[in-house]
Amino acid sequence: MPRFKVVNITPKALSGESEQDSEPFLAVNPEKPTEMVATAFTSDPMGGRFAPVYVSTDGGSSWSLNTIVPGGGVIQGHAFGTGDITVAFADRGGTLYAGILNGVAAFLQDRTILQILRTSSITSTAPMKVLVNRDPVDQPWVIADTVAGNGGDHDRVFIGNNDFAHDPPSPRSATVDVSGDARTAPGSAGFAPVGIEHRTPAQQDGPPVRLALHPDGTVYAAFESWTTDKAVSRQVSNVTFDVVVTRDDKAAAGASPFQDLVDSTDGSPGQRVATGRFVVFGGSMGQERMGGDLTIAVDPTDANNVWIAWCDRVGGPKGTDNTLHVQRSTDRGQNWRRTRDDLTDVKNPALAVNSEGLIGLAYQKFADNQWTTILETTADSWKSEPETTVLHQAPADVPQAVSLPYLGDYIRLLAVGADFYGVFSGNNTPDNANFPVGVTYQRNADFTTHQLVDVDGTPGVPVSIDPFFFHRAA
Amino acid sequence: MTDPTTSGAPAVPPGEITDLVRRSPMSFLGTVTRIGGTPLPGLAADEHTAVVKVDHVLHAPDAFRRLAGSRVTVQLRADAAPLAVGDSAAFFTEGLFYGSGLAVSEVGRLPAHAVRPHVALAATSADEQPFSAVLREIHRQDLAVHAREADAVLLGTVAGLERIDGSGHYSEHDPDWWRATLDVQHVESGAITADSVSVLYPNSRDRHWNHVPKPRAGQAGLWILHATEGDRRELAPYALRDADDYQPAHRLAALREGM
Repeated sequence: MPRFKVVNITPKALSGESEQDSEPFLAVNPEKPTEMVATAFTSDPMGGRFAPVYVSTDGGSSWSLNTIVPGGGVIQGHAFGTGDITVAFADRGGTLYAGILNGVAAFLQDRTILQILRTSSITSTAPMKVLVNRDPVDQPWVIADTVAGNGGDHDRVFIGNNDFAHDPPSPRSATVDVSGDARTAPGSAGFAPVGIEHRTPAQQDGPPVRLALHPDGTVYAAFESWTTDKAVSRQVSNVTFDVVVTRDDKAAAGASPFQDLVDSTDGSPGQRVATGRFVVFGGSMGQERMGGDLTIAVDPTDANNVWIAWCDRVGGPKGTDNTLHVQRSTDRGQNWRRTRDDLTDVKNPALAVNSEGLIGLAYQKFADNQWTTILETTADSWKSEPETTVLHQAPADVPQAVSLPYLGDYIRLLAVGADFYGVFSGNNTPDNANFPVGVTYQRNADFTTHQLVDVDGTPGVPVSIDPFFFHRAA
Repeated sequence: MTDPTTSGAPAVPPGEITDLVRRSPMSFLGTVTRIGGTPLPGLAADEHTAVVKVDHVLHAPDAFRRLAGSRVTVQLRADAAPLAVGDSAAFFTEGLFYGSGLAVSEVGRLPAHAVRPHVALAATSADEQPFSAVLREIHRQDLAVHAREADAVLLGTVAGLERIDGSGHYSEHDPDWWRATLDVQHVESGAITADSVSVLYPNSRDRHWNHVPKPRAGQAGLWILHATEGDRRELAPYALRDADDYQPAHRLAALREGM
């Protein structure tokens, strides 16, 4: 039987905090899986210039903050944390990479500035080194591995992003920044952007560009190609999109990266998995916004096997649903078939496949005014009933949203060996009924009275959104 | 064991407390319980590392206001006077480590007697923290500077709100610019002569923009305005930009003292 661990990663020293620590991400060091880094929209608790990452060196049992991410600070009394942030370890050497939107710059300059960051030690208090600055870019998403060659290890790093920095302007915004030697290459560490959209979207592609990397160098990149785009406001738009998967067979090191998978119908690079899907970009479900749910994962034992999941509104413009679809390809992304029944009112799907071919799918479901975070695992791609584990469930209207996103525009699930690791954000009420497989809090909490407790033992710290780490040990 | 009393002790220069509070997000009156070590795993210690029992929090962010009675690791300034176990002092600090406990770096230090009057006064007032009055004064000063550096300051009432039909790409982080029309009751500063003025503001609730004031129909108050730049000049001459750009009208008097 697998063993589950769920941990509220807010450190004990922050028992008095009540911020909205949403949009979490997680990296686990494959070389030493007891080392991990989590992120969220957490600002320096005392308003410093660097935003924190959460660090654990004991397998996720205890966590501390390390304030090393550029883009924090206090401006006219308002504390800024980082903007969007994702992180990944290389396979060997312990180097951590991050893709962020600089929080302060986004506000001061009204531009979403991508920064690619690196640190050789997750416990070093030295700020992460800035390798790349570029704008305007949205939603960086990082993966990495390590390969041997030319007398040493080389870290291959891929950062999916929605890049609007085209001159002349172009609607082809789906992009992957690639470096074949991010650890040691000089200057910008070898990073260069690669456009992966080869059709002509209506005005742009959607924000999520998700990646899956196989050790043999096969790398898949999925994105949502917007085919129509009818504005309701600047932040809400009725969007029709195609789900597109591109592939590169040599780690994007060749002359024409991400063009190894050609659509079986129109012959363009990028196989369309689904077409004409509808979503209200910027619409809402509970207190959360919607519009960019996408994930892809490859079987580490066989690069031909790949799974994808996304959300759209089956009911169209008059509908209210946000429906999760899961499909599978067994021929390197050329042909796709539904592999799981659709699931309504879901967001933040996250797929991963472990070393034994077990597929994991984490997601957050909205029903009966409650958010439920679920992990499914299946060894036969949902032909039989999956193992379904409720990690967390709590009222969706508590706490009141301070800003958006409420829980986050994504969560993270990843596999290291046979184990699954992940992180989600949710209502932090200390109630065992909310955590069916149990939970450990770092911060002070009274599970009898269901109250958060301050550093001096005073109960009544307001309920807020915290990041929760989870681990499914095989 | 030293805790100098006020008798015979040198006075703290005027403004020094304000300066230290401005430079440090947290201060507390505490007593040293250990030198040269820390109970916090993962935190390096040296001869400048102290463990201090917090007797009174003087000022702190909300999350740290209830530290009294707990022990905090303090990385003392290397150039500061050495401390011994049992010494009391007022420590002005910034964050260093947040884990199973809290560690801070010393920004400055005052003798305990210099802050005891604030502690005593806070016990008899409605102030939440001994340095609440200092914080209010700093905020008043900052607001005055902010207003002085703004392009216009006025008393006005929101007469209209309209969405700007923008173009370009969509992002969750788009500011979603709207335009408010303010009926002007009084111009404190700036070249505004008309009876009304147009003001842009980001209506987005995205975390990048949520803190900027969102005018409501009929809302009256003090508005601190910043000239728009580039293409936005065609949309409106001014914009709201910072969390402090809307204030209740009664703040004008306090603002004038600093402007």
